[in-house]
Amino acid sequence: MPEGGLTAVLRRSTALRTTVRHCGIGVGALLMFAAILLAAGKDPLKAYVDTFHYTLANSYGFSELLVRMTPLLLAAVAVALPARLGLINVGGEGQLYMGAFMASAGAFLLPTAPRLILLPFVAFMGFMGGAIWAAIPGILRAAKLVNETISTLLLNYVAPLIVSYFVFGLWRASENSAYPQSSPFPDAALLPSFFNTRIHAGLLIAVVALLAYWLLLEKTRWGVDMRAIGGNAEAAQRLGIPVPAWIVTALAVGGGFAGLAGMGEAMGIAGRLRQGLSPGYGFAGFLIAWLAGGRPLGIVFMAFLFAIITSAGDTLQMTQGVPYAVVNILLAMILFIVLARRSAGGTSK
Amino acid sequence: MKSGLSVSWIVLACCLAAPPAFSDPTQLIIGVVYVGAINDYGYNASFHQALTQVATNLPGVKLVEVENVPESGEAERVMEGLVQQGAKLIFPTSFGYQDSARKVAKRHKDVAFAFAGDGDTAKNFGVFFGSTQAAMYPMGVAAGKMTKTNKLGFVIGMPIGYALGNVNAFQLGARSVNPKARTVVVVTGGWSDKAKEAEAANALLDQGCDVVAMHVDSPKTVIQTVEARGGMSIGFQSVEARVLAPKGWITGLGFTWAPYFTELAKSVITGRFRGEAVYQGLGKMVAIAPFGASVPPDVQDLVNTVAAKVEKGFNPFTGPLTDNTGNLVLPPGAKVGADQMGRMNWYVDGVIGKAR
Repeated sequence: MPEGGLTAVLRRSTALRTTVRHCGIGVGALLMFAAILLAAGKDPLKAYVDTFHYTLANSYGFSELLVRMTPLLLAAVAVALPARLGLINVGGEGQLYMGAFMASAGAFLLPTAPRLILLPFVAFMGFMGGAIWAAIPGILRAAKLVNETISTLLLNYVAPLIVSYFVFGLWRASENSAYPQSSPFPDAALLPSFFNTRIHAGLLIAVVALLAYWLLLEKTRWGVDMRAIGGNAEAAQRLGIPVPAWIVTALAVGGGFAGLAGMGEAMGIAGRLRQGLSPGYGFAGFLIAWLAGGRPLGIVFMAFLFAIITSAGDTLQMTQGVPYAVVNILLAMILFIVLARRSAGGTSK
Repeated sequence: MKSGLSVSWIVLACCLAAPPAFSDPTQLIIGVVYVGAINDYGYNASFHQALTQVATNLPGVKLVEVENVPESGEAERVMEGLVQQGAKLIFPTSFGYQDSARKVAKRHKDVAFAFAGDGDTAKNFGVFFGSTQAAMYPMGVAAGKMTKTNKLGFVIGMPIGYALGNVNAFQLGARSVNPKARTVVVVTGGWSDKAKEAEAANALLDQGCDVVAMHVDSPKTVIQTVEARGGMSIGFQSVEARVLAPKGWITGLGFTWAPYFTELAKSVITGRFRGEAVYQGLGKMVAIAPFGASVPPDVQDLVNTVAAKVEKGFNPFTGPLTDNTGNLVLPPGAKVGADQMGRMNWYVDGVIGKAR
């Protein structure tokens, strides 16, 4: 074991390397994307300046970056936490929908409850929605019945159907054209928002979730146990760590965070339950957690990058008439660069 | 040093992002939000074509379009972005944008909104749509005449009143010329789910339907699937869809928004915009597409005659009408007008499908 001082140096250099690596990914992708814009007859410099102008250098744009990051952060933690045990949770999207669904159920169950009771209740329900949805694959995996990659992935398709069932049926609003969506939530169930923007309490929840994730990993005995399971589950079991219970718990808590993301989208943004609640935040969360190697700061950085890139998609369409699909090219490029680095022998985890 | 650097960045950004010198004075920027792609031969294409026409015909009108905007919280951000780009007239073209559009409209009273849907109007918030339901009646006449199996298929995205109305008018039209005609409905659950649309079209053909109509955002998948298997199709959303089926095309409905949109653009330029509810049917916002080569002249004449009747105000939803479970849904003489269409929640007798 190295001495304390050496560990600190090593750690710092790892942190530095991580930062350099993340920036490298960003810059590399932006350069390649510039080449594509150029090939399409657009001005890449102007494209980047426009993006900068309407996202970072603009208070509304910046607030919207944070709004977009909120579900991404939570969805990424939902993946990163079970990943410590070597579990692959591809089900963030479904867990997000179940969180929104259960939170809505909570709001419709106690429509007249005061805010002080309803808000925590709705948040709890949102967490439980995602947690239950993720616990199912967890139990199946712990019982060695079904691989969690497959079951979490497939449950993604079930959760939106449950939401559809309710917004088309029991909860369907009767106003106007009866577009399939629920009635608005009671005011007391809506998450408070700040600074006259759409930044809502979900962002605080996301930050707390990230902190809790970091503390859990770095500062607690549990983090050590989790890493032990991730390293060698059988050895961990022999050491007396209750591996099956850990599998269910880690997936459930992870899913709970995704559920909170769904709760935030429903209670903080939409104000009612609807089908297209998430444009794939759950899937993006998987990508972010993976690109960040599960590191809390990496998650923040990658979520930020994702938020900027998707905002760039809107901005570039408006200012330059670039089709939205080019943003997918940019996202794909980031993935390729990461993949290339890894197979070329870069840091693997 | 650090703050100096970021200030210089902002200055640089502002210089570069400043609008170009005025060579062509822009009188109006129109912002458009689409739920799909503008080259879908369907719903989005109909708006894109009409607005391009407006921008071409009126001097100084510029179009800023954003495609593939989901009906989630994203929509609000995009519309806010359009306002920042200087748009003074915004078209949220999909039903699911309603909440977002209303929020942005409340914040920006100086920006006019023309929402393709329904609900309350405000000074800067108008609603409009093309009433296709009655116009589907002559489409049913065409299908009823052309079918050999007497089984017609209808693919709809979501079972909302407007879609049910389209199916019902179609079946009523078909029944009016062919007592044996029945319409089988398949719901895909989304307005643009290509995989399910292809599946639905195949399922309908497998069941023996030989004419397929649709109410989804893009008629492309259904028409191409049906064409590949030698079936016939009735198009929807954009009259351009006929190029997708050189053999099996019968006819179809398309939206002709351009005249109304031109009026709206002019009213914003002159400062006379007032949010109104405008619903127009066949002959105004809705047009019948040219007939396919396989349609005999007598059928064409018949469809045109019926269409003329609809244009003059004929309402196919006139009682007595029974639904497909045997209940009398419209007593003799009762009518369903365009304003109540969103609430329709039954299928007329002869439709095979469950409305609830």
